[in-house]
Amino acid sequence: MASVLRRPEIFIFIAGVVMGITWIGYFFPLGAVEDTVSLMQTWAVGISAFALALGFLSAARIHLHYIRRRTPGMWPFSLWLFIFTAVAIIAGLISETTGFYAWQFKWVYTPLGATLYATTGFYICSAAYRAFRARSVEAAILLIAGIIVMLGNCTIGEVIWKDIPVINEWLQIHGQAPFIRAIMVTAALGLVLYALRIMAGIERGYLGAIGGEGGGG
Amino acid sequence: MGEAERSIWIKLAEIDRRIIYWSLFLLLIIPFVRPLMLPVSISETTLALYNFIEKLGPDDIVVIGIQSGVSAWPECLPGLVAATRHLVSRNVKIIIWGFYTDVDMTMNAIKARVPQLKWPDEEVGPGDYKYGEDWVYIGLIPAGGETVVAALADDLHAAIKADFFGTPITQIPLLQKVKGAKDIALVITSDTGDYGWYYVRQWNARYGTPIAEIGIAMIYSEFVPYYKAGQVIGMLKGVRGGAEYERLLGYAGEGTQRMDALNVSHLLTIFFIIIGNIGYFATRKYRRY
Repeated sequence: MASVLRRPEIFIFIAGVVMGITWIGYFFPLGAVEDTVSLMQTWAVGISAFALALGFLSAARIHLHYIRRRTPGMWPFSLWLFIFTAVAIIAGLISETTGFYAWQFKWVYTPLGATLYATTGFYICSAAYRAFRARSVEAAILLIAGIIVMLGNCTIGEVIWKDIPVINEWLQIHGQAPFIRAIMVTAALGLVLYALRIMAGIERGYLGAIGGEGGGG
Repeated sequence: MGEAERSIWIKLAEIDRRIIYWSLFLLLIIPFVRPLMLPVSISETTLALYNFIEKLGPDDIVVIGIQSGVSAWPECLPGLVAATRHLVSRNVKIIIWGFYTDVDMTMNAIKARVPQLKWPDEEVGPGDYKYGEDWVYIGLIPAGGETVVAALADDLHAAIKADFFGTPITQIPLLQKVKGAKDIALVITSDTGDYGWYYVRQWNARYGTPIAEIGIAMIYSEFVPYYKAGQVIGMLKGVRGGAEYERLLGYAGEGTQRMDALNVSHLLTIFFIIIGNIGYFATRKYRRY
């Protein structure tokens, strides 16, 4: 029985039916189809919540492995992960909005998040210095455009030259839009093809190990 | 070129990163000691959002979707605060939710800066927003990505059952007026990632709900095609967008203050880029690459 349930055809059939109904519901507002899509979306919310728990179990399995093996450079962090997860869960169960739960968010999570984000500024400054070299004509154009956009994004740019924001706005709204649009439309068409391949059962990469050969078609 | 002279150019082309880090760190202190508070010009996308909200009134309901975490506060919070202030000044009804675990922190940060928003247990005075009638905070919507965004658009009552305080949404007067995306006048989405696209695809493309983006400056460019197509009605570009909106509302808040840090850091980066290129060109013929 278990082997029957693991047959890839079952999953391909479910994925095909669900995708087909959702697709029809998106483009054709038919009452019964819309209700079905709405119902499936509600299921998806529940499944996503379940996936969170599954994700934690998966991470726990990996980190338990590190702790058991005393993997150098890893196991103390894995241990810390479990300790802090337990602390966060207990704090959340006691009180979700006040007390220690709120304290850890305010005084641990928030400063750490802000620090991490702020640190990237230093890396970007250093990386820009190293990478932005006018090694070719194309690189020189990129360099000039980059500097105009940087100056245009800060107020000092318009103090240096009043037209900097105008050029910057043209570059960002009119200059680059056609290229980004081309990339986005191409990627979207690729996604449509990918979806059609899943619906047709050709694409099996998403099934993982049970998909067998043919993954990615 | 002599050895000593060549060595100077090589040094310019290969400045130690610790010097860059320390220079940036020290320069960032200047705005704290002496704020520059330079005037900021208004960009087209910021003005578009401002003008759109100016047309809204007490009968309109706006959703604010917070998909940016606390780490993005320096960029997104000034814009979120300014837009919320503007909505409050227009008496527009507001529904707020978020998909990041720290959304409660962001909500509290907005509320601290927009004191008219009152929790259920707070006293409501003239001009204040009464909870449940003028505004509602749903809280964290923990999982589901685009599927949940689509479900919210289709039937809000099926996707969420209670607000942040656990009150069933059927008992909240403001939410009784809302079935889904069709009842919403505008979605303001604050993003560091993909959620803005989900709103465009599931709320605008299917129901025509106008979308506005208040995201980090990096994703501004990605939304430009949607803006040009009319699907996104306005955008704030990171902290600069926030500063521009503050100017439109007539106050100098955190966005305006933070522009100083942006000025200093951008100028230093440009300075190092120019130095690096001078060093590169001066030593190019001595290099193999």
